[in-house]
Amino acid sequence: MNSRQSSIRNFCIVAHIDHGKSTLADRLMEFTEQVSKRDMKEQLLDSMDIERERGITIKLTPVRMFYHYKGEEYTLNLIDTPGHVDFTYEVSRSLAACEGAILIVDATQGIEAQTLTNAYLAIDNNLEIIPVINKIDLPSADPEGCKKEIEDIIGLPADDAPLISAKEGINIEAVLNAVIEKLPPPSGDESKPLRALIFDSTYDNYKGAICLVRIVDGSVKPGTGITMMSTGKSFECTEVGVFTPEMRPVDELKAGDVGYIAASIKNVKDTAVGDTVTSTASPAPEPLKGYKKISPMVFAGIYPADGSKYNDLRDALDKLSLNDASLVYEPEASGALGFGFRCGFLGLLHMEIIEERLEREFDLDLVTTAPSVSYIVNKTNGERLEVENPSHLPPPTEIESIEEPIVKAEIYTPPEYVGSIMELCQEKRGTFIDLTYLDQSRVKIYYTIPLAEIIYDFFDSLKSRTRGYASLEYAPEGYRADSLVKLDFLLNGETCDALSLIVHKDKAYARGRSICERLKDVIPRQMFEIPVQAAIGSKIIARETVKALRKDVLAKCYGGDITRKKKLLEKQKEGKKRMRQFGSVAIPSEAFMSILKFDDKD
Amino acid sequence: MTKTRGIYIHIPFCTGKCFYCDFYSVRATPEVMKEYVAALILETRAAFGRVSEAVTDTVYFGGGTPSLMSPEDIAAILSAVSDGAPYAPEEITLECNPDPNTDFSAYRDAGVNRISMGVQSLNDGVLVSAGRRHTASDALKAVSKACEAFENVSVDLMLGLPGQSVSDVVSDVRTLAPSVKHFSAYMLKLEKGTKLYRFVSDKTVLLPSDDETADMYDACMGEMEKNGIYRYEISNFARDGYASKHNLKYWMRDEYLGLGAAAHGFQDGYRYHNPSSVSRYVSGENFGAGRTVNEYVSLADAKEEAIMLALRTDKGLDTDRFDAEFDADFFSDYRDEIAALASLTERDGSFFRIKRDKMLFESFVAREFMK
Repeated sequence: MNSRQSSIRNFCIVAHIDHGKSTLADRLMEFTEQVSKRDMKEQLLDSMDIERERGITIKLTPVRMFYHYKGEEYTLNLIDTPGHVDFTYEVSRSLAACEGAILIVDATQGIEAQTLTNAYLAIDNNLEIIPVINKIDLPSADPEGCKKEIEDIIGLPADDAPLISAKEGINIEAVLNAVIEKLPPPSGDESKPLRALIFDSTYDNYKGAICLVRIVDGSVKPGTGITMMSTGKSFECTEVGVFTPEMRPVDELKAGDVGYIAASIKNVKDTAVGDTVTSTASPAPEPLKGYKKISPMVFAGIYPADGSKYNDLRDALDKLSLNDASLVYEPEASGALGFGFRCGFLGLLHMEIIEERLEREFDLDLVTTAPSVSYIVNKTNGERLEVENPSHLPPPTEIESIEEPIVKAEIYTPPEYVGSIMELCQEKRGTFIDLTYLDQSRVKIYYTIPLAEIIYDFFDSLKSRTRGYASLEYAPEGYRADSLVKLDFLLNGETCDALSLIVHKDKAYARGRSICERLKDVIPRQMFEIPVQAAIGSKIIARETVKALRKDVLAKCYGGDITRKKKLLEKQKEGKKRMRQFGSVAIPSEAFMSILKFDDKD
Repeated sequence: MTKTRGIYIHIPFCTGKCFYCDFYSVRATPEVMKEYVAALILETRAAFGRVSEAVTDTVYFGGGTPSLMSPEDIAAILSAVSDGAPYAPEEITLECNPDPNTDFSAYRDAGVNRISMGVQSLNDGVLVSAGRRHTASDALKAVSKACEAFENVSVDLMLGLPGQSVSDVVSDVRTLAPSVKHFSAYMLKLEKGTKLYRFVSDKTVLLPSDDETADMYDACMGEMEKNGIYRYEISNFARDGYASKHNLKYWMRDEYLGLGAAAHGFQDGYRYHNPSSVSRYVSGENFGAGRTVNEYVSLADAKEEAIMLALRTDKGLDTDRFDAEFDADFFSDYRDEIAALASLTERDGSFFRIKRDKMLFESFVAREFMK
């Protein structure tokens, strides 16, 4: 290790959501004068509008800072990470680019579900961890209790954990000092062939696809021929640089550095996250250990509200996937919705965010089908099928059994809610595993629950039953067979594929009824009567009727105001265009979302 | 053939606002009304200087509440109208609120020959919940007094008001039909920004459903027919020979000059409206045909208008006239639309119309013809 490397520290900040991660990142930058106070926007690293509005971090963002300590200048590379359970994968990617992590614990809340998950992730990645106790300025802060929790639950020494308030800027220096003293500098060899780990990628209209990298060995500068080790594709590096947090070009990136490589790469697929970049002239013999590709958990069909915008939607998804490698999508066609995409997401929040970004950043109107999970169907002929779209389920006679994904759910809660949480888990077809008292005020409940139940309204129900106190964490736990059936909905006698659901047999009747009622309310009356039916196979289990329209007429033209009348008609016509024509029935986009809304009765 | 023209004169004054109304109206002092009349006379003169020559054959005082103007004011305005252009009045209508103290004969002497009375309902509960400021008994007295002075009296009814029932409507028609020559029956359209809209949104008022309102309409039309009064346009019903000549101009796309604040006009191919402000109107700066909005109706729009307006009438669209005016061949140019609407429309010689019992789908039909 040379002296250049010994003055570098690569680290990230991990925390439970809302424990102050982005605020601490802001303070660190401010303290190292990377960003002067007057330029400071709240949560500087959260650059997307959605991130600022929701107060969450979705994408990881690196930033380089300089800090003087005991007469030496240090380069600190901070990689901000998302805190929500859906984005655990992104966290693990940024961890692989670091040597250490700051673990923030909220002094008023103590250790929460994500604190643990992220702490264990960091430990698994062999990262050195610095616990930091935040929000000590609040009256309800209990720093000593926090330290005890950290030692008891995570097993980390927390005696000299810095006690800070990121919001008030208290004791920020102690954090920086700890980073330098406690975290190891990067190892790696500048003289070896280039090996750079791509931990993220982004797209720039002028520079093309850009790799966010941690240089492990060797060096790279403009003009270096680079090769992606997984695909063998080669490019010529046009620019290397660091994040300040804006991209700023530098002459060269060397082992231990965190930065970016631009090489006029047209296709973002060539900058696969987890891949290793090497030098074309002297390739490294072995790639770095990448990350395993995460598989999506939740699937939904996304269609343009206006069928002619299919190409716009495809372009938008292509662009979004450029910097969200976890988004997967493939074209699908639906009888009711026309052409669109079946998309896979990490979770419901991820799905919501993708939808919102498509609508905001690409100005698209979307129709989204109810989210579903991926089922495994064992056919009578011995075939095993994976089904992500309920309408693709084979006919009941060909099905031997259906298996659904199960998750291991860990729920953290104050003890007084244990009863109602267990009741909820039972309703959601959960299987009780274990219950442990972490201390007097916190209980951890383990259940295995079908993922399909989680993605409906589990989280909302949990929050409402525990007044927001409980938190949920879950991880895939394989597949389990159950009595599952496909619930179809017929409009005017025809099955509307985009509405089909896979549900548990015992719940099919209630759900069929309530969805029919809801559809009756959202489908506008038309020139003829429309039967709305729920069916399992060929058996109708519920029916409602949308009565025929009686009038569709405008009042008089007061004082000859023809223009106003014309505008009204035009507006109505515009409204009709936004509906989906399904056979002879026009369906508004809300209809497809309406089946998502379950009330507690279901 | 000499061209004829209607004149619409807007009197935007009311003593209060009905809960369902979203039209421009203000409360005014006698001084303001005086200034308004003066401004109207100025605009009338100016307007005649601007438009092509035509014979004025209908005048319509609409509101607001035109009967708030004195008979002298009405006479003064009419004299400006008759001085400005060739004048051969066939129908001069004054809209009135049901006030038994109105001196109808004085309006007759001022030149008015038709009264349109805003009765709306003869159920006092319904009137209160609509924010009307008269009772059923006021209305009956006023109608009977108007009938003494005028041969041609029309009554406005509303359908779908809060608390209204089918039997209310039938009884209203039965009571009034013997005295009147004409009815207008409008189905309530809930407009944003009105009091009623707020009441309905916060659920303090429940409106009859669309189906109930449609039932009211059917019952109302049935009862009128029993009394020899027949529909000639979706919302208008008359004894033979008493269809409103002025209102028919709207459906036929004939020209009409709109005078007064917030008035609309259609003149020489342009649709325009005046500013919705009495103070700006009387200041003289901004009044006048087309100072606010003045749009030339393109050929495509004109065709759409012609179809959508004519289809509101029971006679329907005179396709010979349409073909001649637009150098078109209606039945062939709109082959697809006509085919799509086969269950709702019919052809009768050169006329194309909505089937008698499908008139309440007028907007559905009109939209089909829009680009």
